[in-house]
Amino acid sequence: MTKNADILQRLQTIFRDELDLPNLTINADATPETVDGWDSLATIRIIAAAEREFGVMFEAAQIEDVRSVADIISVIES
Amino acid sequence: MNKPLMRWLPSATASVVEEARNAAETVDIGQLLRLSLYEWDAAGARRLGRAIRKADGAKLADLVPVKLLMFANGTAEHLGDILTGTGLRHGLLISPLIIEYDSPAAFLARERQRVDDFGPDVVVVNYDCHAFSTSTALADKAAAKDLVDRSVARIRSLQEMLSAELSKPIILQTISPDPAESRMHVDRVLVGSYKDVVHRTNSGIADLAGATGGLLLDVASLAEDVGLDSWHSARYRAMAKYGFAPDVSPLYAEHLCRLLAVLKGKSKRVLVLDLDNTLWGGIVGDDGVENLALGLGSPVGEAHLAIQLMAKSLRERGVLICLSSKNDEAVALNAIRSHPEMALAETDIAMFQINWQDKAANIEALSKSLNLGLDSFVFVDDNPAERAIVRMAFPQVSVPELPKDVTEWLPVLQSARFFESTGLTAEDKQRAGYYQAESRRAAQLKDFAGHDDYLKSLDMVMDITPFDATGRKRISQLVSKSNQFNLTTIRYSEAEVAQLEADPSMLTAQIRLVDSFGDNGMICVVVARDDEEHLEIAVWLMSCRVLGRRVEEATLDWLVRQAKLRGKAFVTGRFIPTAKNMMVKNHYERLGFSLVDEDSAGATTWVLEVAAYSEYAPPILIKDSISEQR
Repeated sequence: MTKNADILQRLQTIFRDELDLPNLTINADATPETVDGWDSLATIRIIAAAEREFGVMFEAAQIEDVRSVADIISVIES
Repeated sequence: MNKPLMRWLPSATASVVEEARNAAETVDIGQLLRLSLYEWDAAGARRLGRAIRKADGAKLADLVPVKLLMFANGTAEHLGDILTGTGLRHGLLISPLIIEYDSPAAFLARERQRVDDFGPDVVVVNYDCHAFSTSTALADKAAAKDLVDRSVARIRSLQEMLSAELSKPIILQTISPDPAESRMHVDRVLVGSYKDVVHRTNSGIADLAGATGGLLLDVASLAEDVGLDSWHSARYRAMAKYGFAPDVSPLYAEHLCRLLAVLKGKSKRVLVLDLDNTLWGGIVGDDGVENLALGLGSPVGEAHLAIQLMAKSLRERGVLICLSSKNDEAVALNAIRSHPEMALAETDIAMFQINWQDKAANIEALSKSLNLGLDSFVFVDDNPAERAIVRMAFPQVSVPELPKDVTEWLPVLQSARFFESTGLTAEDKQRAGYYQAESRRAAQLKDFAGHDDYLKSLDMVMDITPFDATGRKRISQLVSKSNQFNLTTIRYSEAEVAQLEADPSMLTAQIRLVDSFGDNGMICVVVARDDEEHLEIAVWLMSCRVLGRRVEEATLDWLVRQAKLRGKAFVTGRFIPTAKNMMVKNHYERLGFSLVDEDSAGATTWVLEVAAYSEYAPPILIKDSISEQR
C-alpha cells in the first residue's frame, strides 16, 4: 500500500466513526458537500481523531482551510 | 492512543480495538459490557455508545437508564455518545439531551415541551471557565468579594430555577481556571487576582452543592490530575468553543458517570484486598511472617503500609474492607494478627475469603454473605491473571489495573475515585463497626461457571526441559524456598541439582509457563526416579501463583507419558506433611492416585496405574523437549 493510500484508509475509519456511517467510502476528492453529516463541527471531531491517530497537530488556520479529504491528507503529510 | 489518562483501566490492545469495531455491528450486550472496561479514547467510547443505542431494549434490562439533561455554555454535543459509551462501565444506559450555548431559562421558556417529552432524571450544569467573568479586582477586598458573590449568585439562581422547574437532582461543576489568564505566583497572594477569584468561586459552588445533596463534579480537580495545559486546548476553544480538550473528554465522562452511578444507588461500598504482594510484600506461606516487606524502612514496605492506611481511611468513610487471598487461612490470619507493622487490624476487616479457590468465586461468596451487589465491589490484586478472571466473570466489579511497581499504586487508585459519594452520614461512619465484632468467613462457592473458558483465553504454554546448567540456580532456589505446594519438601543444594542433571536414572523437569500476560518464569519442578516397574516422584513443587490453572493436571499428563516411554506400569508419589504444606495433603487423591501406605507421622504413599490412566488434557499446550530427546 502506498503511503497515501494508507492515510486514506485510516482517515476513512475515522470518518466512519465520527459520522456514524459504517459503510462510508471516501476518496481524496470528498468534500463536506458530498459526504452526509460532514459539517463544521464534524470537521473538528474528525481533526481531533486524526491528530490522535497520526500524532500530528493541525494549526487552527489549517483546520479552517479544510475543504476536502485531500486538504487533511496534505497536513498529515507535511 | 496517547499516554493513558485513566491508569486504573486496562489499555485496549490492537485486538481489543478490532473486537470493538466488530462488536459495534453485532451488538452483543455482554461483549459490549466487557469491552467498556478498557480505557477508550473519544472515538472508542463514542463507538461503544452508538453500539449500545442500537441494542434491543429487552436485553438492556440490567442497565440502569439515566436521562441526562446537560446545559453547556460551549460545544458539548460531542460528549453525548462518549457519555453513553462510558456509562456502560458503570452499569448505566445514558440518554443525553445536550443544550449548548443557550441560557437554560430561555431554553426552558421556549422548549419546555421538548424537555418534558424527554423526561430528564438528572440535570448537569456543565459550565467551564468561559461562562464566568475574567474580571479581577487586584488588592481590593470588597470588590473581589463582590466579583465572587456575583458569580456564585448566578449559579445559585440557576440551580434554584432548574430545581423549581424540573424537580430533579442537579449536578454542579467547579471550574478549572482559564490557562490564558494570569498564572503568576503572586496571584495566590493577591486578593482579587483571577486565581483568587476562581478559587473562591469554586468554594462557593461547592457550598451550593453541599447544601443541596452534594452533587458536585470537581472539574477543577480533574484538570489538576492531567495538568491545566492538557485539560484545556486553546485551539479547540478558539475553533469550536470546547470547554476542555477533546482528548480529555473520556476522563470527564468517566467521572460524571461515576457520580451518576452514585446518584442511582450504585456506589462502591466494599474494598476487597489480596494479601501476598498487595497488603504486604512477599508470600507469607513461603517467606514466613518475619520476612514480609511491610512498614517503614524500605520503599516497598512503606508502599504496602500506605495501601493499608488507605484502606483504613476508606473504612472511616463507611467502606467495608474484605480480604481475598490464595493462602492457608491459619498462616494468613496469623500474619495479620502478629505482624507488628500491620496498620489494618483484624477487627477492621468485615469479612475474608482465604482459601485456594479462584478469586471470582471468592468475590461472589463475599457478595452473597454481605448481601451487597457485585457492582458495589472494588477488587485490588497485584496479579494480572486474578484481575482478568474477575473482570471476565463479573464485569460489574471494579478491578483497577495496577502498575508493576507497588510504589506507584496509590496515585492510580486515588485518581480513580472509586468510592465517590455525595457526602458522609453518621451511618456511614458507623457502618464498618457493624462488622467489627468478629470478621467472618464467607461461605465458600465453587469455581465460577466460565472458569474453563477463562483458562482457554489465557493461551497457556507449558515449557518442560530437563535440569540444566542454565536453570540450576533458579531450580535450587525454588527447591529450597517453596513450602506450600511442595509434596516432599526435599531440599537440594546447587551441587546436588548438578548431580541430578547427570544421573540417567532420574527424570528431571523444570517447567515454565507462558500465558497471555507474559512469562511466569519457572513455576514447577519435578524429579522422578526409575524404580523397576515404577516411576517414583521424589519432588513435585509448584508456585502458588499459578494455582487454579490446571497446571498440576498437565504435569501429570506429561509424567504418565514419560512413564509409558520408560515402560513403567505405575507412577508413585509421596506426601510428607510439614507445618506449611497441608494444601497438598490431598494432591494425589485429587489426581486419581490410590493410597497404598500411611506411616505414623502422617506421610502417605500413592500409586497410579499407567494403563488405566486417561489424560486430563487441560487447555495448556505442552512443549516438551524431554520426550523429543528420547
